Amino acid sequence: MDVIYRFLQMLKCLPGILALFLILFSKDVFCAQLRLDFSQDNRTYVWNTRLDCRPEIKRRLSWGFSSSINSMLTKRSVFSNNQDRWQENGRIDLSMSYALTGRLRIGALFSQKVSSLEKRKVTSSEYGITSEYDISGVRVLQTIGGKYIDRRLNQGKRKDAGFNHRLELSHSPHILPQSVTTLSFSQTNSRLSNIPLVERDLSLSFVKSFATGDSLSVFYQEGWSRKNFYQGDLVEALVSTQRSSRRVINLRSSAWIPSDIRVGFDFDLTSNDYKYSGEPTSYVPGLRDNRFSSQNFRLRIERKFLGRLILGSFYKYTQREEDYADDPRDQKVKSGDLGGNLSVGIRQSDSLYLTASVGVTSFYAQDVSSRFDDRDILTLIAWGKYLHVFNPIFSLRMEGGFRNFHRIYVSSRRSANNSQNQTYVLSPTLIWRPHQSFSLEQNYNIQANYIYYDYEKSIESTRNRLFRRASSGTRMTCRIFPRVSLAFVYTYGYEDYGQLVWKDQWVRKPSWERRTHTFNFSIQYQPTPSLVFSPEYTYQRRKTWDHFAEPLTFEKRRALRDKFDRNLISLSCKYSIDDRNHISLSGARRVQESTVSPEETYDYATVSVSRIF
Amino acid sequence: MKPISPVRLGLTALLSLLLMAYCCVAGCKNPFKTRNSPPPESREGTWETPALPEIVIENLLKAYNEKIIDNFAECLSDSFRFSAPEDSIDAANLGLPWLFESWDRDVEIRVTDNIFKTVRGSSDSLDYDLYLYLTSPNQDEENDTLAVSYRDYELFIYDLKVSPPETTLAKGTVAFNMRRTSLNWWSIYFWNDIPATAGEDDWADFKAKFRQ
Repeated sequence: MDVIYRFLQMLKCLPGILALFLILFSKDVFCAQLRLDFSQDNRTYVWNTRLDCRPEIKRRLSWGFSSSINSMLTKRSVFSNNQDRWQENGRIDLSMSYALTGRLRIGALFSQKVSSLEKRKVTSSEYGITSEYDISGVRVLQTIGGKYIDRRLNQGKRKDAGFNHRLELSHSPHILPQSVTTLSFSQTNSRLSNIPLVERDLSLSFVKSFATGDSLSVFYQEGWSRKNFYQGDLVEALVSTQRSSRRVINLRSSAWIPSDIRVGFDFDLTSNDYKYSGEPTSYVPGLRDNRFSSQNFRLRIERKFLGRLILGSFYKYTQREEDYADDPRDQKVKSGDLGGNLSVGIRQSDSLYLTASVGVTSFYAQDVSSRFDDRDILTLIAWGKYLHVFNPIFSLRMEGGFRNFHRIYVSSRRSANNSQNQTYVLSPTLIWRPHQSFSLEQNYNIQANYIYYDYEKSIESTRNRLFRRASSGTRMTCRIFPRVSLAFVYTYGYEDYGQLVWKDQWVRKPSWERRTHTFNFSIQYQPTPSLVFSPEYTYQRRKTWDHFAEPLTFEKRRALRDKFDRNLISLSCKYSIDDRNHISLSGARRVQESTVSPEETYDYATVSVSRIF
Repeated sequence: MKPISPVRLGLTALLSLLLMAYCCVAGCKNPFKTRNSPPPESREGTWETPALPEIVIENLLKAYNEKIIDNFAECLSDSFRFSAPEDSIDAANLGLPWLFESWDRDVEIRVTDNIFKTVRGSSDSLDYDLYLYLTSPNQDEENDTLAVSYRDYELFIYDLKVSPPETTLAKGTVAFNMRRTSLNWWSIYFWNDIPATAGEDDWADFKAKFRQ
């Protein structure tokens, strides 16, 4: 075994040498993409470099090389007390293969990953030889090699190395016409010195479509793994073992039944089991055997009437269970949703889409001590969209909806939180496009959110609240010359917030309000087809007022709490040398000040280079 | 009317059988009926419409200390991701690279629910207090649809099983990236956690211990 391991270690260098040789001498098959990015956002600096070589397979020999390096520097002040922090991640992958016969291909691969943060660094390498062959329609892919992980911390280091084997089997038998069946099995065995890993996966999928439009798809997967990991301090670490098993079943089906009704039935089942063994540690809750399972089904019915109206309905049931073996964390969740949608083309110029659903989600604790948290959430959602085309250049789009969450706790310990959370939205938009080079869009948006508590309606509770928001947005775009286009956007926003008081109906008692004006102006200038300049300027003014009553006269008044101004100027430039080579630069400066904070300046910059050889 | 082929008929019958069999075995859930609720014996839980990014953080802080999972879940957007880059390196060092992997909304809620239930279920052996502070200088950013709020935090974890009780202090800085949507107002879509001192205990370490 030791000889084999040493031989495999020697193989580590081989793919690199071969890849370099091929890069230098295989001009006719060489194809690569290089990408360099740099960005600076205030105190964060990011560098990304990526090189991919994926030559076309022209002969029996094929190979690939890819590398990426990501570096991030966070300057002190926000995230650290006394020093800048560097984080770096890098990866190199090399692979090559040679087709010995039409059915047999052999090769080698090498992969190295580095992940570092200041003085802490993890380096992992994988290398090996690969074989891929086909036996009576069964595709067999094997990788035999080694794996090496080097971990370094301030207080010491630890190395793990060992034999690595991966086997993949897949077969696609032809069972029925117009169907695809795939059976696959994979096994990974990493015999690392302290933390070995074994993983097995078996899956079966079947997809069949019928000429009539009916379809059926089934997927089944069974997985099993056993992995060791360290706990506690790395130098004197304890080793624990996790055994897990996973089962997944998915069913998707759709069929036409008499009366031209389309019926669909979907079913999903997932089950995960985790078992732990090893030395007990100072883990706060302690690693505990647990099981998580979920299953759901969805039934859909849809029918088309008169060629222009589509009516659909669905019912969805979900069940989820978390089992920590008689622990307060044990929980069961059941949910049922009933809904429908309507899509209709009323006339050629009018179309309408409506959707609504109602559902209840119930939470049940298994442990007696946790049953105070048992609750139901009743959800009601309705949404609609309407489009009216007055003429080819003028149209109206209307969107609106309602959502209500009613939370109901079944214990008196929590029932004070029983509450209704309602949101109403209405948003009409007018679009006028008199010419190909000119468009004007006007949007209005009104929203309101009511929160009130079931047991606090009769008292003047500060928890009953209303938040309202309205905005008006105007957007104008104009192409004044073939290579110059302008865009102007103005938005006015209003928000207010306050207490709700019940006096036969809800009455608002405002607490604060905020008004925002935003102007944005941008130009896109294209002096040549390959060069684009885009300068942009944004100005925003925001004022916030507090509402209060005079202590003696109870006169309602408002006082300016904050005035905020922001200026943002940016310039971006994109140069396309040809279809394969691009450079882009962008920079921005933002200056803002308010009555409660001093002037602040932020700078952003991005440089990006992309080249395909 | 289209003629019915035997295959289609067979498929329809199979689907009907599957549905009936499943409904018989698993049962269904009435989408209109909720359970009864008694009047409250005490009042707890604070939640406000997340009309501003800072309200989301207030809601999250209160939900965490009051241990109400629904209020906590309301703070997170559907596309939520949690990241703890330094702890991920440490986890990889220990051979647990999966510990911080694919940490989405479902994982965050499950982990936090585990924390709340463990503490609620054994308040005589484990408890905690969370405090959030504005960073100095304040780096919060906000525009019409996106906001980033930075908060220094202190999480005092009390191990009451030992005598005298032990207190662990997890300190660090979190960056909450938030997004404003029509129905969810402001919610967190990205949560980044960095310890105050490299290698020391932080919030992410505490959370990771409840991911199983």
